Amino acid sequence: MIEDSGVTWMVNRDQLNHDWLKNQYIVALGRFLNVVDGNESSQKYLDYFLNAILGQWEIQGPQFQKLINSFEQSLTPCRYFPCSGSSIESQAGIWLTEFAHQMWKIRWNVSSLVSQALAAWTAVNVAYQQVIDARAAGCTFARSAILRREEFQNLSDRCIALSDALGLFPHSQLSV
Amino acid sequence: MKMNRTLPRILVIDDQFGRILAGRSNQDRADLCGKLLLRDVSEPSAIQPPLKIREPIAEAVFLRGQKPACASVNDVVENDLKGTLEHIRHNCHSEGKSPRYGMVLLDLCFYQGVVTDSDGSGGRTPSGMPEPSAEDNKVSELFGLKLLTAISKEFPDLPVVILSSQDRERVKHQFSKRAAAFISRANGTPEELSRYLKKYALMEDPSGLILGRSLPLLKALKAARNSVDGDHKCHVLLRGERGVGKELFAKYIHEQHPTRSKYEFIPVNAAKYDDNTFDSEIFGVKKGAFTEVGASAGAVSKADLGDLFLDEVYALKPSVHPKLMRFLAEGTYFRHGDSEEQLKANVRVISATNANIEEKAEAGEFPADLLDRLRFGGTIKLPPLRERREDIPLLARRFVQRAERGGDLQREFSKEAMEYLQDQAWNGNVRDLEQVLSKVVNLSDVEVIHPLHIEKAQQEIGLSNHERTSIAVGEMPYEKGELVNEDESDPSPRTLSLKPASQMPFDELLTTMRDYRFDKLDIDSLMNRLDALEEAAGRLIANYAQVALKISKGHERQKVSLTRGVKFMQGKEKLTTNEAARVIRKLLESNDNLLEWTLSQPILSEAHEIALGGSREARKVVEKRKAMKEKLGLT
Repeated sequence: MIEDSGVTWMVNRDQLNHDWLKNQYIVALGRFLNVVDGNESSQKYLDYFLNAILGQWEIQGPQFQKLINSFEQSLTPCRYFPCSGSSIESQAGIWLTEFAHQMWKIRWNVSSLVSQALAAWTAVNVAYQQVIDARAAGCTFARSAILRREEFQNLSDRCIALSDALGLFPHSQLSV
Repeated sequence: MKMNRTLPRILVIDDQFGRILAGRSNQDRADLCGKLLLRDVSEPSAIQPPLKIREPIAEAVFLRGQKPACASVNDVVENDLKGTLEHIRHNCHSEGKSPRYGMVLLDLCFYQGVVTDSDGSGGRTPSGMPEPSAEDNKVSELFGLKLLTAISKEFPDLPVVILSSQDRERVKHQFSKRAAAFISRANGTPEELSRYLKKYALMEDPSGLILGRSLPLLKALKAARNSVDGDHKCHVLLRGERGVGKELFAKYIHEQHPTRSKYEFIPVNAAKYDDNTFDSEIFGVKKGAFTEVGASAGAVSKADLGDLFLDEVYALKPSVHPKLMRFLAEGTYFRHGDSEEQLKANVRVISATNANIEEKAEAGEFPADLLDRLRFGGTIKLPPLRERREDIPLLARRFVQRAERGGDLQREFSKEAMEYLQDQAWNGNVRDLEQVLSKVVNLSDVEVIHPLHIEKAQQEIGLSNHERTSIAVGEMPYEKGELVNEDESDPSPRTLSLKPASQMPFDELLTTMRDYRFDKLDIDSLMNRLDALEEAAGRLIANYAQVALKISKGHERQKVSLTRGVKFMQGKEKLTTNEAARVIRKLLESNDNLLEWTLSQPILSEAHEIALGGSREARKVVEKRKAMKEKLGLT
């Protein structure tokens, strides 16, 4: 059975955006902020989050960039050309493939979706770097996290914006 | 007063947060609890050690909605509709039982299939879960939507809020018919969850003032919370039988309001007043409106920005309807005796009645436009005790504890006693239950209360066992006791209770009065009771005088003799007419309400008239009597 690149892309998106970013990373960030605010008392969690959870972005972050950049190629209707047993002449096939791709891009505003998602991803990177820079403040990371709460809130907000941007991508095969 | 805070309990059905991991804590669940400030009370809990949340907003029981709940690598995970519904069923969401869950938080997408090593997805798929498939995530295949349909069909009163990381827009057409709301896992906050709990959940009164967790009560509490509105015209009407606790509900509505709760809650009983006194009590009096009367603020002025509780609203005299109507509609009024200075107050009126006021309005016996104003913010029907029998054990224990007043003996109920209590009709609702149990405590120094103790108490206070004595208005002869009818304007025949004091031996009455303690009652039932207490005490003594004066007459045609009557009461051998007159006046003039009542009692009225004589000093009282008589149509 030939694997459909569109289905694979969507499963990858589910794993990254749904399973990891929304259900793990953002939820953990939310809990961390509640601990910083004193709604939950757990010094242990502050340390655990800063040492074991926060840095996961460095591993998963590049996967988001790959995912976004691979969208056009994975979902394009071009992947159905040339069909086996097609009677279309090879030249006509190239022309038709390109035409279908362009129609699809315009119809679904693909360039805009991709550029918005990349901008959201860049914003997470910037917010993440600001949080990491807090280490350099000369006190413990946990202490500086409390002092620089707004930067962690910003990271959470940027992550939510990224997940929203990814949610705008299609959830089913798109027709031209 | 220290509040015994009861947290609402929610059921979270979610494959990721509900799963159990062999030998270790579910970190995802801990993070969700920490994010939404939930206390995990699942058994067994998958969070170790428990979270230390300062002020949790709810208790949460987590359920995977799939089997097995604890899956390892290579196990096959399947959605479990039957098991999930069975869990809800088992936790009391069936008819006649108290619901254990106030609300459900429901995930939409549940992954099925073989559990793989999570490292295969680079740690993105949580351990103990299958990897996602395109099939699980198709809107038409979302297991959460199937669960939602099944829950709303079998448990229509159980509110469901979607808790999902799905994009709301994508699924809103599917869930919006049946689910109350949607919380995004990513964006959701404790404040948002709190808001939904308040609006949709079946929750007990956290203060414990309104005791119970039966479905009819929880639905009434929910309606009360939802009646909260900032607009001063959103008046609320409470309907319910006598003794169901209408004033407590009104207080509850008051306390739910974010701003009104910071201002006064003023209770007024409409049945207590005639036209003029109601007018001055509610709207205040202008200085100089009557001779020697200074300005006084009325209830609406005291309740400005807060709430006015108008009990027994059906008993209002028709002459005050237009003024009340204008106040309800516009918030403007004139003080009694003033037609020039228009005043304004931002007051929400919470009215209450046990009459079928809608029917009365239809029959033209109550103005329909006034009713519409009174219920502008909604009508809340309060359930009678017979519809919330499962609350009786909770209430019974509370009432016995209250009656024990912290004494050494702490009573328990036998199983049969509790069944007996639940078997009664309780036509007088919670108030009758409290009265009976208070009597049980007074009569029985026993550690365990049995049905016979309750039966005895019922007999002592004039209630027969199993079914309460039913007496239609007008059927009860005076000698057998005085009828208590909260809504005396409601002439429809219905069951009434007897005042226990009328059957109490005299010495026991004295002991009860002397020993009655107020310090164990809750603040709300004590507030604003001085007038009622004074009147009750005055009426009791006046009734005693009435009997003494009746005896003094010898036979019907003879005049009342003050000296003989007072001598009888005081046991004196010598007494002058003036001294006797002073005693009678002192007894009957202690307050205006008593004096007015005296006029309707021929013997007392005659005695008072004699006592006043023609003295100059008594002229004011004579005038007052004259005015009262005119008002009562006794001239």
